Amino acid sequence: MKVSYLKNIAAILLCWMTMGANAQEQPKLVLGGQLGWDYTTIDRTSMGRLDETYVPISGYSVGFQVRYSLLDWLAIRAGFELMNRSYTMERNLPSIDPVRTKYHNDYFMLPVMADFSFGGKRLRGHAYGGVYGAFWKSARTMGTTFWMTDYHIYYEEFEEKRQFNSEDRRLIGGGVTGLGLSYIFPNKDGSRGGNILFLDALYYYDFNSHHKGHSNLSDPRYLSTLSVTFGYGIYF
Amino acid sequence: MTHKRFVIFLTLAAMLFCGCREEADYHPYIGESGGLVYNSYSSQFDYLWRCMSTGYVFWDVEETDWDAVYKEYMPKFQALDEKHKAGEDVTLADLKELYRGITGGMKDHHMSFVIKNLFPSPNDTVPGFYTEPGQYEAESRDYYIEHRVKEQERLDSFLNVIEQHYDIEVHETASEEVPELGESVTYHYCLIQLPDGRKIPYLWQSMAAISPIMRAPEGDAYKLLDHWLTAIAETPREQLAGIILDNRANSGGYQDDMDYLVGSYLNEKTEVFKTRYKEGPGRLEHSVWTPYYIFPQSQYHRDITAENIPYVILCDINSVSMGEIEQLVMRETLPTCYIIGERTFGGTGPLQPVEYINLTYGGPFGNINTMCHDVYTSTFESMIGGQILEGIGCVPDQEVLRKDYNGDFKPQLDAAIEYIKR
Repeated sequence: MKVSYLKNIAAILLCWMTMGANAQEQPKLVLGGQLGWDYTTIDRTSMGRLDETYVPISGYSVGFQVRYSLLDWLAIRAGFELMNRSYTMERNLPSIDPVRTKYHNDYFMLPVMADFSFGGKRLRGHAYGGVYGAFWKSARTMGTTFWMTDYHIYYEEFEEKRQFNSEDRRLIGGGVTGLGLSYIFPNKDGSRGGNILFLDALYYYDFNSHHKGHSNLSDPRYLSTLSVTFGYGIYF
Repeated sequence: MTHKRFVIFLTLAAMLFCGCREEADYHPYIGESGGLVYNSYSSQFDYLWRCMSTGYVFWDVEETDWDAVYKEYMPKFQALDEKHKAGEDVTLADLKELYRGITGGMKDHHMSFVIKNLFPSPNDTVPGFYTEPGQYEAESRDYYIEHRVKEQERLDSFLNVIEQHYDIEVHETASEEVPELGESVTYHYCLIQLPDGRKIPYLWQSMAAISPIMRAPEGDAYKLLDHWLTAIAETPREQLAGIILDNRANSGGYQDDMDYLVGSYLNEKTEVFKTRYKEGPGRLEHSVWTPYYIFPQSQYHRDITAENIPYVILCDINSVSMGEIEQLVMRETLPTCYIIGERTFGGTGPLQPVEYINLTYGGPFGNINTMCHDVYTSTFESMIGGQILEGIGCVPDQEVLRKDYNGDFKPQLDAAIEYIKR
């Protein structure tokens, strides 16, 4: 089954490469920066925690990128981004309904992608596919917790920096794919190159759980993030 | 052609991604009993080991290597299975030896295991055994004398004739069953009179059950407590020498008792310690440390700090759970508190009812009537300064060991009265 996948991928890549034979001369290197909005979900089984709901929440990202054109329609794109990948856990048992925790996570993301582009000289579409490494830089937790006496439950607001421990996996990898649009401002002499604006929607999909578990425990938690970024680059 | 190409690309990418995540293994959660099936000694051990692995709250301070426990003991339980299959008896003594070895050094001093023999042996006289790891540790201390149940009887006997030793103006005693616990609590309230005429309201409680007693204002125990609290609240300062709360052999009970014992003497809401609970099956997955507050109570209020009234608490090695948390809290909050006696048992984590397990993912689990196990563990408490006293207990300000007086209860009470008279 795996061999069949690989054959399909190789055939498609070959097809793309041969279709790029009409490439024309252009600057190859783009350096740019981007700002983004993102939306993160967590995938996790219930593992007996019957009343928890995980709610995606949005965050922001900022970063840099470099694109190097191999062909008119194919470039390699790499980047470095600081990205919020946050979510909220809500308890639903009636007795502790107000309890919730927002997990505010900051990750350094290092994606490397193939950038397949198509379209006209100025307005072009892009399809991206690649992998990334990510480092869980820091985290804060905030929300409402509870404490109990014999007859009462009380609620308490909290916010604190997360102290990482040996069960946290801070270095993870994943796959990234997405679509984008770019607009290329031509040089004054009419040649291609100059500046470029781009709008991308990328989907980051962790391959590693950020919780290691322990002996005889496998309870993986995976983050997935949809990131919409708006950026500006300069051709060199 | 171009669009088709991109659709194929995205589909392929999605397919590749989806195969890259690991699935979770099924794992019984600490409170989960619906899927509970074990039919051998080794699978019973496996189940209990996993529940402890996910629900025990002390892993970050625990010295027992739980993974090493599994490696060491699983073959031993498998050997018991083989023994049973071969038609030989496996006795409760065989099982108790293993479980005692497993839990013997654990930090949680509230912990107890009740285990039934899955395949009862004709040599067993009872269906199960009880093991309490904290008790083993306490018995190893050089000032240990006797189990708290026996000590409660002895102390009760001593107090029944307290008039032989002190000038007692009032002496009331009451025993009452606490329906919620199915246990009886015994009180002695004595108004001790000093030679100078000043008085000391003294209370011994065999367990911490003031709050349920006070919720039903009737009966002798309620009246006795009302008299003690009223004596503290209303005796004129020049006639009130101090207060004595005797928590010796106090087997623990209700957290809400602190409303009366501490809250009555506070002027404002006060943080007294911090608690946390499990927040996931990882051994280190905890909630944040959450403040535990006591609120001022008006019914028996007196500002003993402003009036500089000594509040002496007696404790010993058999002061357990709330029987020791109370004085730890008093020391944090009431500057005139002074603790005399012995280092206490060390079960300092507040307990939750078993039905709260779905809230905290920790605490007691199992039911010996419907299953073959009943395991009792506590939640986690830290003092405001961050000290973890689980397994250590409350160290008194003034140590007076009963073993130095042939187990006599009087010298500790003498020390309390002397402190107040100073």
